[in-house]
Amino acid sequence: MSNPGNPSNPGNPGNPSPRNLASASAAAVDREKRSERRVIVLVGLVLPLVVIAASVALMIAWLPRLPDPVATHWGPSGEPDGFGSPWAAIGLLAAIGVVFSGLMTYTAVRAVARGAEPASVRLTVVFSPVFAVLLSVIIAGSLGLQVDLDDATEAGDVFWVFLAAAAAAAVTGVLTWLALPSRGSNPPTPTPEPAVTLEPGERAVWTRTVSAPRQVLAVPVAVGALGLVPVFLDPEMWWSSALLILLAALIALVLVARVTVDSSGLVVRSLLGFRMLRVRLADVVSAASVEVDPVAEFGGWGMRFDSRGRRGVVLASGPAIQVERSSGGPIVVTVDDAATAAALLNGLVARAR
Amino acid sequence: MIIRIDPASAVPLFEQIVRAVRSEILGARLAAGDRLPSARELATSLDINLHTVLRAYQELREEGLIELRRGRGAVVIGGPDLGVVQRIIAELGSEARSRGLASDTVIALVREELSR
Repeated sequence: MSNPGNPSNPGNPGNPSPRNLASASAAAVDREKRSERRVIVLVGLVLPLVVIAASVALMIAWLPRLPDPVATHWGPSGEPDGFGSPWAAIGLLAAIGVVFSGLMTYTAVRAVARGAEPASVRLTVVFSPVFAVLLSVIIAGSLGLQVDLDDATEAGDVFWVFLAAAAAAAVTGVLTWLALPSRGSNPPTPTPEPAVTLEPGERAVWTRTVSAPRQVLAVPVAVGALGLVPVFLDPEMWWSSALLILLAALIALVLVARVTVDSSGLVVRSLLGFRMLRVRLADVVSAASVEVDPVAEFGGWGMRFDSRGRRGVVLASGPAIQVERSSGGPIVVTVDDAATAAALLNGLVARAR
Repeated sequence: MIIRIDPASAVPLFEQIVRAVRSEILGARLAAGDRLPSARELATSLDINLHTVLRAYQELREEGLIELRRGRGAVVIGGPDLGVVQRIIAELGSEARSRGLASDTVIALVREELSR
Protein backbone atom coordinates (compact mmCIF):
# COMPACT_ATOMS: atom_id res chain seq x y z
CA MET A 1 0.00 0.00 0.00
CA SER A 2 2.82 2.37 0.83
CA ASN A 3 4.86 1.43 -2.17
CA PRO A 4 2.91 0.29 -5.23
CA GLY A 5 6.18 -0.08 -7.16
CA ASN A 6 7.03 -2.96 -4.92
CA PRO A 7 3.78 -4.53 -3.71
CA SER A 8 5.43 -7.64 -2.31
CA ASN A 9 7.34 -5.54 0.18
CA PRO A 10 5.03 -2.78 1.38
CA GLY A 11 6.59 -2.58 4.82
CA ASN A 12 9.98 -1.50 3.54
CA PRO A 13 9.68 1.76 1.68
CA GLY A 14 13.41 2.34 2.06
CA ASN A 15 13.97 -0.18 -0.68
CA PRO A 16 12.20 1.31 -3.72
CA SER A 17 12.09 -0.63 -6.92
CA PRO A 18 14.29 0.75 -9.69
CA ARG A 19 12.49 3.15 -11.99
CA ASN A 20 13.28 4.82 -15.20
CA LEU A 21 12.87 8.48 -14.36
CA ALA A 22 12.87 11.16 -16.96
CA SER A 23 14.79 13.77 -14.99
CA ALA A 24 16.32 14.50 -11.64
CA SER A 25 13.52 16.91 -10.70
CA ALA A 26 10.88 14.32 -11.55
CA ALA A 27 12.81 11.94 -9.34
CA ALA A 28 12.76 14.49 -6.52
CA VAL A 29 9.01 15.03 -6.84
CA ASP A 30 8.48 11.30 -6.97
CA ARG A 31 10.62 10.80 -3.90
CA GLU A 32 8.70 13.50 -2.05
CA LYS A 33 5.35 11.97 -3.00
CA ARG A 34 6.55 8.60 -1.79
CA SER A 35 7.72 9.98 1.52
CA GLU A 36 4.41 11.80 1.96
CA ARG A 37 2.54 8.58 1.29
CA ARG A 38 4.75 6.84 3.84
CA VAL A 39 3.79 9.43 6.49
CA ILE A 40 0.09 8.97 5.63
CA VAL A 41 0.33 5.20 6.08
CA LEU A 42 2.37 5.62 9.26
CA VAL A 43 -0.10 8.04 10.87
CA GLY A 44 -3.31 6.61 9.43
CA LEU A 45 -2.61 2.89 9.73
CA VAL A 46 0.55 1.93 11.64
CA LEU A 47 0.03 4.27 14.60
CA PRO A 48 -3.64 3.27 15.20
CA LEU A 49 -2.75 -0.42 14.88
CA VAL A 50 0.05 -0.03 17.45
CA VAL A 51 -2.31 1.79 19.85
CA ILE A 52 -4.99 -0.87 19.40
CA ALA A 53 -2.52 -3.75 19.74
CA ALA A 54 -1.10 -2.23 22.95
CA SER A 55 -4.61 -1.77 24.40
CA VAL A 56 -5.60 -5.30 23.47
CA ALA A 57 -2.39 -6.67 25.04
CA LEU A 58 -3.03 -4.66 28.20
CA MET A 59 -6.61 -5.92 28.48
CA ILE A 60 -5.52 -9.52 27.93
CA ALA A 61 -2.93 -9.09 30.68
CA TRP A 62 -5.72 -7.85 32.98
CA LEU A 63 -8.01 -10.78 32.18
CA PRO A 64 -7.15 -12.94 35.26
CA ARG A 65 -7.80 -9.96 37.56
CA LEU A 66 -11.11 -8.95 35.99
CA PRO A 67 -14.56 -10.03 37.17
CA ASP A 68 -16.55 -12.05 34.65
CA PRO A 69 -18.90 -10.70 33.38
CA VAL A 70 -17.51 -7.16 33.31
CA ALA A 71 -19.56 -3.98 33.23
CA THR A 72 -19.89 -2.81 29.61
CA HIS A 73 -22.50 -0.09 29.91
CA TRP A 74 -23.16 2.62 32.45
CA GLY A 75 -26.53 4.25 33.10
CA PRO A 76 -27.14 7.99 33.32
CA SER A 77 -26.58 7.92 37.10
CA GLY A 78 -23.07 6.50 36.68
CA GLU A 79 -24.01 3.03 37.90
CA PRO A 80 -23.13 0.09 35.62
CA ASP A 81 -26.26 -1.35 34.02
CA GLY A 82 -24.95 -3.57 31.23
CA PHE A 83 -22.62 -6.56 31.57
CA GLY A 84 -20.77 -8.84 29.19
CA SER A 85 -17.70 -10.95 28.56
CA PRO A 86 -14.39 -9.04 28.63
CA TRP A 87 -13.56 -10.76 25.33
CA ALA A 88 -16.46 -8.93 23.69
CA ALA A 89 -14.88 -5.59 24.65
CA ILE A 90 -11.49 -6.72 23.35
CA GLY A 91 -12.97 -8.01 20.10
CA LEU A 92 -15.02 -4.85 19.60
CA LEU A 93 -11.97 -2.62 19.91
CA ALA A 94 -9.84 -4.77 17.63
CA ALA A 95 -12.49 -5.14 14.92
CA ILE A 96 -13.78 -1.55 14.77
CA GLY A 97 -10.29 -0.08 15.12
CA VAL A 98 -8.70 -2.16 12.38
CA VAL A 99 -11.57 -1.72 9.91
CA PHE A 100 -11.84 2.03 10.51
CA SER A 101 -8.16 2.87 10.22
CA GLY A 102 -7.80 0.58 7.19
CA LEU A 103 -10.74 2.29 5.48
CA MET A 104 -9.56 5.83 6.22
CA THR A 105 -6.00 5.15 5.11
CA TYR A 106 -7.11 3.34 1.97
CA THR A 107 -9.36 6.29 1.06
CA ALA A 108 -6.54 8.77 1.59
CA VAL A 109 -3.87 6.80 -0.25
CA ARG A 110 -6.21 6.18 -3.18
CA ALA A 111 -7.05 9.89 -3.42
CA VAL A 112 -3.35 10.82 -3.41
CA ALA A 113 -2.62 8.16 -6.03
CA ARG A 114 -5.32 9.78 -8.19
CA GLY A 115 -3.58 13.12 -7.92
CA ALA A 116 -5.09 14.79 -4.82
CA GLU A 117 -2.71 16.99 -2.82
CA PRO A 118 -1.48 15.04 0.25
CA ALA A 119 -2.40 18.09 2.33
CA SER A 120 -6.03 17.76 1.24
CA VAL A 121 -6.42 14.34 2.89
CA ARG A 122 -4.98 15.49 6.23
CA LEU A 123 -8.34 15.57 8.00
CA THR A 124 -9.27 12.07 6.81
CA VAL A 125 -5.96 10.61 7.95
CA VAL A 126 -6.05 12.35 11.35
CA PHE A 127 -9.48 10.84 12.10
CA SER A 128 -7.94 7.38 12.08
CA PRO A 129 -5.50 7.68 15.07
CA VAL A 130 -7.91 10.04 16.90
CA PHE A 131 -10.65 7.43 16.71
CA ALA A 132 -8.26 4.60 17.64
CA VAL A 133 -7.06 6.49 20.75
CA LEU A 134 -10.60 7.51 21.74
CA LEU A 135 -11.93 3.98 21.42
CA SER A 136 -8.86 2.38 23.08
CA VAL A 137 -8.96 4.66 26.12
CA ILE A 138 -12.72 4.26 26.54
CA ILE A 139 -12.72 0.46 26.26
CA ALA A 140 -9.42 -0.28 28.03
CA GLY A 141 -10.13 2.43 30.62
CA SER A 142 -13.56 1.08 31.50
CA LEU A 143 -12.03 -2.39 31.96
CA GLY A 144 -9.16 -0.87 33.95
CA LEU A 145 -11.70 0.49 36.46
CA GLN A 146 -12.71 -3.08 37.22
CA VAL A 147 -9.30 -4.67 37.82
CA ASP A 148 -9.27 -6.63 41.10
CA LEU A 149 -13.04 -6.19 41.62
CA ASP A 150 -15.00 -9.28 42.68
CA ASP A 151 -18.25 -8.05 41.18
CA ALA A 152 -18.63 -5.74 38.20
CA THR A 153 -21.59 -3.93 39.80
CA GLU A 154 -19.05 -2.21 42.05
CA ALA A 155 -17.38 -0.57 39.04
CA GLY A 156 -16.91 3.17 39.50
CA ASP A 157 -18.16 5.99 37.35
CA VAL A 158 -16.79 6.05 33.80
CA PHE A 159 -17.05 9.83 33.49
CA TRP A 160 -13.31 10.32 34.04
CA VAL A 161 -12.51 7.63 31.51
CA PHE A 162 -14.49 9.55 28.88
CA LEU A 163 -12.81 12.80 29.85
CA ALA A 164 -9.36 11.18 29.62
CA ALA A 165 -10.29 9.63 26.28
CA ALA A 166 -11.41 12.96 24.87
CA ALA A 167 -8.22 14.67 26.09
CA ALA A 168 -5.95 11.93 24.71
CA ALA A 169 -7.82 12.00 21.38
CA ALA A 170 -7.49 15.79 21.15
CA VAL A 171 -3.74 15.66 21.82
CA THR A 172 -3.37 12.86 19.26
CA GLY A 173 -5.31 14.93 16.74
CA VAL A 174 -3.10 17.98 17.13
CA LEU A 175 0.18 16.03 17.06
CA THR A 176 -0.74 13.87 14.06
CA TRP A 177 -2.12 16.90 12.22
CA LEU A 178 1.28 18.57 12.59
CA ALA A 179 3.09 15.40 11.51
CA LEU A 180 1.19 15.12 8.23
CA PRO A 181 2.38 16.76 5.01
CA SER A 182 1.21 20.33 4.64
CA ARG A 183 2.90 20.95 1.29
CA GLY A 184 0.48 22.59 -1.06
CA SER A 185 -1.76 23.84 1.73
CA ASN A 186 -2.20 26.86 -0.52
CA PRO A 187 -2.49 25.09 -3.87
CA PRO A 188 -2.52 27.23 -6.99
CA THR A 189 -5.94 28.49 -8.06
CA PRO A 190 -7.30 26.16 -10.74
CA THR A 191 -7.37 27.60 -14.26
CA PRO A 192 -10.68 29.41 -14.78
CA GLU A 193 -12.99 27.97 -17.42
CA PRO A 194 -13.05 30.11 -20.63
CA ALA A 195 -15.97 32.52 -20.30
CA VAL A 196 -19.14 32.13 -22.35
CA THR A 197 -19.57 35.24 -24.52
CA LEU A 198 -22.85 36.94 -23.67
CA GLU A 199 -24.50 39.70 -25.75
CA PRO A 200 -25.35 42.86 -23.78
CA GLY A 201 -29.10 42.16 -23.40
CA GLU A 202 -28.85 38.39 -23.34
CA ARG A 203 -30.13 36.43 -20.33
CA ALA A 204 -28.80 33.04 -19.38
CA VAL A 205 -29.30 30.39 -16.73
CA TRP A 206 -27.56 27.09 -16.05
CA THR A 207 -29.24 24.68 -13.67
CA ARG A 208 -28.87 21.05 -12.68
CA THR A 209 -29.73 18.77 -9.79
CA VAL A 210 -27.11 16.81 -7.88
CA SER A 211 -27.67 13.92 -5.54
CA ALA A 212 -25.47 11.98 -3.13
CA PRO A 213 -24.70 8.37 -4.17
CA ARG A 214 -27.27 5.68 -3.34
CA GLN A 215 -25.25 4.27 -0.43
CA VAL A 216 -25.33 7.69 1.23
CA LEU A 217 -29.03 8.22 0.48
CA ALA A 218 -29.61 4.94 2.33
CA VAL A 219 -28.42 6.60 5.57
CA PRO A 220 -31.55 8.74 6.19
CA VAL A 221 -33.72 5.79 5.14
CA ALA A 222 -31.97 3.59 7.73
CA VAL A 223 -32.18 6.30 10.42
CA GLY A 224 -35.89 6.76 9.67
CA ALA A 225 -36.53 3.00 9.86
CA LEU A 226 -34.57 2.85 13.12
CA GLY A 227 -36.77 5.69 14.33
CA LEU A 228 -39.78 3.39 14.27
CA VAL A 229 -38.19 0.99 16.75
CA PRO A 230 -38.68 2.95 20.04
CA VAL A 231 -42.38 3.68 19.47
CA PHE A 232 -42.90 0.06 18.46
CA LEU A 233 -41.28 -1.17 21.69
CA ASP A 234 -43.04 1.32 23.91
CA PRO A 235 -45.64 3.85 22.68
CA GLU A 236 -44.49 6.27 25.38
CA MET A 237 -41.16 6.54 23.57
CA TRP A 238 -42.87 8.34 20.67
CA TRP A 239 -40.72 11.43 21.16
CA SER A 240 -37.46 9.57 20.49
CA SER A 241 -39.06 8.12 17.35
CA ALA A 242 -40.11 11.61 16.33
CA LEU A 243 -36.58 12.92 16.92
CA LEU A 244 -34.97 10.18 14.83
CA ILE A 245 -37.44 10.64 11.98
CA LEU A 246 -36.87 14.39 12.08
CA LEU A 247 -33.12 13.73 11.94
CA ALA A 248 -33.61 11.42 8.93
CA ALA A 249 -35.63 14.13 7.18
CA LEU A 250 -32.94 16.71 7.90
CA ILE A 251 -30.21 14.45 6.50
CA ALA A 252 -32.30 13.65 3.41
CA LEU A 253 -32.94 17.35 2.92
CA VAL A 254 -29.29 18.20 2.32
CA LEU A 255 -28.41 15.20 0.14
CA VAL A 256 -30.29 16.28 -3.00
CA ALA A 257 -29.93 19.80 -4.31
CA ARG A 258 -30.41 22.05 -7.31
CA VAL A 259 -27.45 24.14 -8.42
CA THR A 260 -28.23 27.30 -10.40
CA VAL A 261 -26.01 29.87 -12.09
CA ASP A 262 -27.72 33.06 -13.26
CA SER A 263 -27.24 36.82 -13.22
CA SER A 264 -27.52 36.84 -9.41
CA GLY A 265 -24.58 34.43 -9.06
CA LEU A 266 -24.38 30.83 -7.85
CA VAL A 267 -27.13 29.34 -5.68
CA VAL A 268 -27.54 25.85 -4.23
CA ARG A 269 -31.00 24.98 -2.94
CA SER A 270 -32.09 21.79 -1.27
CA LEU A 271 -34.99 20.12 -3.06
CA LEU A 272 -37.48 21.58 -0.61
CA GLY A 273 -36.27 25.02 -1.57
CA PHE A 274 -34.20 26.18 1.39
CA ARG A 275 -30.96 27.84 0.36
CA MET A 276 -27.83 25.91 1.29
CA LEU A 277 -25.31 28.23 -0.30
CA ARG A 278 -25.09 31.42 -2.31
CA VAL A 279 -22.26 33.34 -3.94
CA ARG A 280 -23.36 36.72 -5.28
CA LEU A 281 -22.11 37.56 -8.75
CA ALA A 282 -20.29 40.66 -7.43
CA ASP A 283 -18.34 38.39 -5.05
CA VAL A 284 -17.17 36.02 -7.82
CA VAL A 285 -13.57 36.48 -8.94
CA SER A 286 -13.45 33.46 -11.24
CA ALA A 287 -14.87 29.97 -11.60
CA ALA A 288 -13.17 26.72 -12.58
CA SER A 289 -14.08 23.09 -12.97
CA VAL A 290 -12.19 20.74 -10.62
CA GLU A 291 -12.38 17.08 -9.57
CA VAL A 292 -13.47 16.32 -6.00
CA ASP A 293 -13.32 13.18 -3.88
CA PRO A 294 -15.85 13.84 -1.06
CA VAL A 295 -14.58 11.31 1.47
CA ALA A 296 -10.85 11.87 1.00
CA GLU A 297 -10.91 15.65 0.67
CA PHE A 298 -13.96 16.68 2.71
CA GLY A 299 -14.38 13.70 5.04
CA GLY A 300 -17.87 12.90 3.80
CA TRP A 301 -20.96 14.23 2.05
CA GLY A 302 -23.12 17.28 2.64
CA MET A 303 -22.29 20.86 3.57
CA ARG A 304 -18.57 20.55 4.16
CA PHE A 305 -15.23 22.31 4.53
CA ASP A 306 -11.76 20.91 3.88
CA SER A 307 -8.28 21.44 5.28
CA ARG A 308 -7.38 23.81 2.43
CA GLY A 309 -9.94 26.42 3.44
CA ARG A 310 -12.49 25.46 0.80
CA ARG A 311 -16.09 24.95 1.79
CA GLY A 312 -19.28 24.13 -0.03
CA VAL A 313 -21.87 21.54 -0.92
CA VAL A 314 -20.15 18.23 -1.60
CA LEU A 315 -22.57 15.50 -2.66
CA ALA A 316 -20.89 13.44 -5.38
CA SER A 317 -17.40 12.49 -6.46
CA GLY A 318 -16.32 13.87 -9.79
CA PRO A 319 -16.59 17.33 -11.32
CA ALA A 320 -17.21 20.38 -9.16
CA ILE A 321 -17.50 24.12 -9.65
CA GLN A 322 -14.80 25.93 -7.70
CA VAL A 323 -15.47 29.64 -7.24
CA GLU A 324 -12.75 32.02 -6.09
CA ARG A 325 -14.33 34.88 -4.12
CA SER A 326 -13.22 38.34 -3.16
CA SER A 327 -14.79 38.03 0.31
CA GLY A 328 -13.25 34.73 1.47
CA GLY A 329 -12.01 31.25 0.65
CA PRO A 330 -13.03 29.24 -2.39
CA ILE A 331 -16.49 27.68 -2.64
CA VAL A 332 -16.86 24.15 -4.05
CA VAL A 333 -20.09 22.65 -5.39
CA THR A 334 -19.99 19.15 -6.85
CA VAL A 335 -22.25 18.81 -9.87
CA ASP A 336 -22.09 17.21 -13.31
CA ASP A 337 -21.31 19.50 -16.25
CA ALA A 338 -19.47 21.84 -13.86
CA ALA A 339 -17.40 23.17 -16.77
CA THR A 340 -20.47 24.69 -18.47
CA ALA A 341 -21.62 26.23 -15.19
CA ALA A 342 -18.17 27.74 -14.53
CA ALA A 343 -17.95 29.06 -18.09
CA LEU A 344 -21.34 30.77 -17.77
CA LEU A 345 -20.44 32.22 -14.37
CA ASN A 346 -17.22 33.65 -15.85
CA GLY A 347 -19.22 35.05 -18.79
CA LEU A 348 -21.71 36.74 -16.45
CA VAL A 349 -18.86 38.20 -14.38
CA ALA A 350 -17.05 39.46 -17.49
CA ARG A 351 -20.18 41.19 -18.77
CA ALA A 352 -21.00 42.75 -15.40
CA ARG A 353 -17.57 44.42 -15.19
CA MET B 1 -29.04 22.50 -18.72
CA ILE B 2 -28.26 25.92 -20.08
CA ILE B 3 -30.91 28.33 -21.36
CA ARG B 4 -29.94 31.54 -23.13
CA ILE B 5 -32.59 33.98 -24.28
CA ASP B 6 -32.36 37.28 -26.11
CA PRO B 7 -35.24 39.70 -25.50
CA ALA B 8 -34.16 41.67 -28.59
CA SER B 9 -34.73 38.68 -30.87
CA ALA B 10 -37.83 38.46 -33.12
CA VAL B 11 -38.47 34.96 -31.74
CA PRO B 12 -40.95 35.12 -28.83
CA LEU B 13 -39.40 34.49 -25.40
CA PHE B 14 -41.48 31.39 -24.67
CA GLU B 15 -40.39 29.93 -28.02
CA GLN B 16 -36.75 30.59 -27.14
CA ILE B 17 -37.18 28.63 -23.91
CA VAL B 18 -38.92 25.79 -25.77
CA ARG B 19 -36.04 25.62 -28.26
CA ALA B 20 -33.40 25.64 -25.53
CA VAL B 21 -35.04 22.88 -23.49
CA ARG B 22 -35.83 20.85 -26.60
CA SER B 23 -32.24 20.94 -27.78
CA GLU B 24 -31.03 19.93 -24.31
CA ILE B 25 -33.36 16.91 -24.44
CA LEU B 26 -32.56 15.98 -28.05
CA GLY B 27 -28.85 16.45 -27.33
CA ALA B 28 -29.18 14.02 -24.39
CA ARG B 29 -27.97 16.64 -21.91
CA LEU B 30 -31.31 16.17 -20.16
CA ALA B 31 -32.48 12.60 -19.63
CA ALA B 32 -35.83 11.04 -18.83
CA GLY B 33 -36.63 11.59 -15.15
CA ASP B 34 -34.62 14.81 -14.83
CA ARG B 35 -36.54 17.61 -13.20
CA LEU B 36 -36.71 21.04 -14.73
CA PRO B 37 -36.52 24.00 -12.36
CA SER B 38 -39.89 25.26 -11.18
CA ALA B 39 -41.46 27.83 -13.49
CA ARG B 40 -41.10 30.41 -10.74
CA GLU B 41 -37.37 29.75 -10.29
CA LEU B 42 -36.73 29.88 -14.02
CA ALA B 43 -38.74 33.09 -14.41
CA THR B 44 -36.70 34.70 -11.62
CA SER B 45 -33.38 33.50 -13.06
CA LEU B 46 -34.19 34.82 -16.55
CA ASP B 47 -35.98 37.90 -15.25
CA ILE B 48 -39.09 37.22 -17.32
CA ASN B 49 -42.80 36.80 -16.62
CA LEU B 50 -43.89 33.59 -14.89
CA HIS B 51 -46.58 33.07 -17.52
CA THR B 52 -43.97 33.07 -20.28
CA VAL B 53 -42.24 30.11 -18.63
CA LEU B 54 -45.55 28.36 -17.96
CA ARG B 55 -46.47 28.76 -21.61
CA ALA B 56 -43.12 27.29 -22.68
CA TYR B 57 -43.59 24.31 -20.31
CA GLN B 58 -47.10 23.83 -21.72
CA GLU B 59 -45.69 23.71 -25.27
CA LEU B 60 -43.04 21.18 -24.23
CA ARG B 61 -45.73 19.06 -22.61
CA GLU B 62 -47.87 19.11 -25.75
CA GLU B 63 -44.81 18.06 -27.73
CA GLY B 64 -44.50 15.05 -25.42
CA LEU B 65 -41.07 16.03 -24.09
CA ILE B 66 -41.99 16.78 -20.49
CA GLU B 67 -44.66 15.90 -18.00
CA LEU B 68 -46.22 18.42 -15.61
CA ARG B 69 -47.06 16.86 -12.28
CA ARG B 70 -48.67 18.58 -9.39
CA GLY B 71 -46.13 18.81 -6.60
CA ARG B 72 -43.21 17.46 -8.60
CA GLY B 73 -43.10 20.17 -11.25
CA ALA B 74 -41.83 19.56 -14.77
CA VAL B 75 -40.16 16.22 -15.39
CA VAL B 76 -38.45 15.18 -18.62
CA ILE B 77 -40.02 12.07 -20.16
CA GLY B 78 -37.42 11.76 -22.87
CA GLY B 79 -37.51 12.65 -26.52
CA PRO B 80 -39.19 10.54 -29.18
CA ASP B 81 -37.18 7.60 -30.51
CA LEU B 82 -34.89 9.39 -32.95
CA GLY B 83 -32.66 6.47 -33.98
CA VAL B 84 -33.25 6.35 -37.75
CA VAL B 85 -34.19 10.01 -38.13
CA GLN B 86 -30.98 11.08 -36.45
CA ARG B 87 -28.89 8.88 -38.77
CA ILE B 88 -30.61 10.30 -41.85
CA ILE B 89 -30.10 13.84 -40.58
CA ALA B 90 -26.40 13.14 -40.02
CA GLU B 91 -26.18 11.84 -43.60
CA LEU B 92 -28.08 14.88 -44.85
CA GLY B 93 -25.64 17.14 -43.04
CA SER B 94 -22.51 15.56 -44.47
CA GLU B 95 -24.06 15.39 -47.96
CA ALA B 96 -25.04 19.07 -47.81
CA ARG B 97 -21.56 20.03 -46.66
CA SER B 98 -19.82 18.07 -49.40
CA ARG B 99 -22.03 19.73 -52.03
CA GLY B 100 -21.55 23.16 -50.49
CA LEU B 101 -25.27 23.75 -49.90
CA ALA B 102 -26.13 26.67 -47.63
CA SER B 103 -27.76 25.54 -44.36
CA ASP B 104 -30.75 27.83 -45.05
CA THR B 105 -31.30 25.99 -48.32
CA VAL B 106 -31.22 22.59 -46.60
CA ILE B 107 -33.55 23.74 -43.82
CA ALA B 108 -35.96 25.21 -46.38
CA LEU B 109 -36.00 21.86 -48.22
CA VAL B 110 -36.67 19.96 -45.01
CA ARG B 111 -39.43 22.38 -44.06
CA GLU B 112 -40.95 22.03 -47.52
CA GLU B 113 -40.95 18.26 -47.18
CA LEU B 114 -42.47 18.30 -43.70
CA SER B 115 -45.29 20.70 -44.66
CA ARG B 116 -46.56 18.45 -47.44
